[in-house]
Amino acid sequence: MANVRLPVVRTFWLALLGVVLVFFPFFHSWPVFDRFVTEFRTFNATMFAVWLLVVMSMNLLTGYSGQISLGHAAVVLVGAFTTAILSDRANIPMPLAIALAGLFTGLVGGVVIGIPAVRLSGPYLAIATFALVLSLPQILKLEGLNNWTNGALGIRIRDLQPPGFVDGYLNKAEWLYYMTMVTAVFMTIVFWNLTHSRVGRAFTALRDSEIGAEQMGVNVPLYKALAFGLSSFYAGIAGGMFFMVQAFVGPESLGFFESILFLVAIVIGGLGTVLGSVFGALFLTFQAEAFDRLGSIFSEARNLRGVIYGAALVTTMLLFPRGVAGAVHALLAAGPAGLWRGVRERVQSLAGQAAGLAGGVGERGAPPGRPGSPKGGQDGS
Amino acid sequence: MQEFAQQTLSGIASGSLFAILALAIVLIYRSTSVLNFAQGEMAMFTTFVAWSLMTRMDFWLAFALAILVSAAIGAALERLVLRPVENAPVLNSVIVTLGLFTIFNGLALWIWGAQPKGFGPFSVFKGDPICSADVCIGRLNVGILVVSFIVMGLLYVLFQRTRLGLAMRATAENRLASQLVGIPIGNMLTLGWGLSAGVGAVAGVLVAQSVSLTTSSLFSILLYAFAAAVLGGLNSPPGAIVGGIIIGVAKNWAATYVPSEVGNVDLTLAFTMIVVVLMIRPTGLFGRPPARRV
Repeated sequence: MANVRLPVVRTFWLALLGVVLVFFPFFHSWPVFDRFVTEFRTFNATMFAVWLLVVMSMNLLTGYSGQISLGHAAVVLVGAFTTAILSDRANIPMPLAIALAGLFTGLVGGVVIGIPAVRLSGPYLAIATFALVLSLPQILKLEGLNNWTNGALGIRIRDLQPPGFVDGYLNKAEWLYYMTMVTAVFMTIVFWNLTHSRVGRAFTALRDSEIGAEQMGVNVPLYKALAFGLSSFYAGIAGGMFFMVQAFVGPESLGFFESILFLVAIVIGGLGTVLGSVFGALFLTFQAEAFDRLGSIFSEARNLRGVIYGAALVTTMLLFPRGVAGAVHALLAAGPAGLWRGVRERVQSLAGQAAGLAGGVGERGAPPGRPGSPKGGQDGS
Repeated sequence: MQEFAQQTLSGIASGSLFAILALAIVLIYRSTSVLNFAQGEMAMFTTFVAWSLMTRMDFWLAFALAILVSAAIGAALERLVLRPVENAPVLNSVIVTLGLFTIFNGLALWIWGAQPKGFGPFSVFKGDPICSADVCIGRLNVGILVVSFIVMGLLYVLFQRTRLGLAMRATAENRLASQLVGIPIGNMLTLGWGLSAGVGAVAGVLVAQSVSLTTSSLFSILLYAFAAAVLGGLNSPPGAIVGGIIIGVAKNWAATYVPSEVGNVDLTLAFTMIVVVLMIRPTGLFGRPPARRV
């Protein structure tokens, strides 16, 4: 998506965002700001940073490279447990433990999942990752691993204090905020550069047509394994942060439900865009609270959570294949009328397909611009 | 030895449950190349429908009605939400079926609540276990096996011996060519989903009789059904049955012979089996490798 705005304007907004992020933990103590921001929002923002890493990790794999993972929560859980074991059992300082956990998870993801995944096409990969996320809690609870994972009880942080040099300046919540937010911002910049580089383009080529990518000289097995490795590295760091912020991790901390939530987040946010990852992370941060609020107005909302998520997944996939980020881009590029026209065309084409009018093979292909769409022809399954 | 025989037989019996759900998964995958993650939840939903109907009428009538309702739901879903993603990349169709998964789960929870529902076993499946030389099998399990084989037999006749079945197979094989010879491929795909959802309803009603009916009772066997489908070959209906029985037996053996100090390994076993099959022979025992179109 070409950015048509002036670089100056973009720089201004990015600088403003930077200022907001730097001072955010203190907003609740400032006049005027304190009406909108409570102290609890610092925790929200911290979790937002963690979720942003998770969503970017999943977006790299699914949105950019087109590889399905239904077990992403399992990869994040591996990162969380590795951090927990390193910091709790081996007394390695937390930041180092998180970095090591990221490297370890990236290595595991690239080698243990990525290399087999080279041979697996979409549906098989979906089944294998589905099986992984369901069985990982059981594996973590195996008696043989108890010395490390502490079985069903999980691992709790005994005592995590901010380092001495911030004493008197930052409390623990603020320290956690800066730790996670600085990491997330740094890794977002890396992510942006990565996805706009040769590697990112190779991932996108892989997604759009594996055979086409191969023809263009992309080393398919290498880049597939690399996509898994990089994505797992992000997931590992995110898992470490998750453990640090929650101060606890157990075998059931992240499971199939969370995997689905992550998927909802990237699909609604927007597959294959950096902005989409941000919207996805906002969704993960506020979805529980939003449902609580909705529940106080409309008491059935809590019971209908699954229905609402499912409906959101299906309608987004069918009507807005590029999610909120795609809608924002369309709004900026073509205005509300253009956005509305796009949606209307999709609805009409869907209605035609349901009525069986457009039953032709060629006509039923994915529309241009849909993430993961093969350019011409059906995919080779 | 007697214990081994008993565990094997019980494994076959529980494997028949995996087999029949795997059969539904394979049917859809074969005819529309969509991997339906909502299969278990759709079956669970229609089993609740069957449960509601049963309070008002005879078991068999309710069973038949539930199958029809399920088939109608399946066909409607194909038309409304799956058709647009059938030719799109696997990612899109998997996301849509996962959406359906949470929709059906949420709806069932909303309508029928989280309390387990007592469900059967029904008259024909009741009675003392059938025994031979100290090895016993429950009547319900025999019934499940018999029903699985009847369903498979009917499907075999439909697919191999009728014009309609031939048209469905042709659609699965090559859509463009089928369309060119005048097969209404849209209707065939809709029929495929309806058929598969109907088989799913049979699976649900049978499963619910051996475990109690809750919103998660089908989810707990979905992984084994997937493992069975992968083991037998994702596009092979007989493979689904054989795969289901092998998984059932392996699971029972693991539960009996893996020492309890190791911990539970049933899910891990299914996971390991999936990975091993995919590594060694991705097409499964009976599947054929798909022709790749460039």
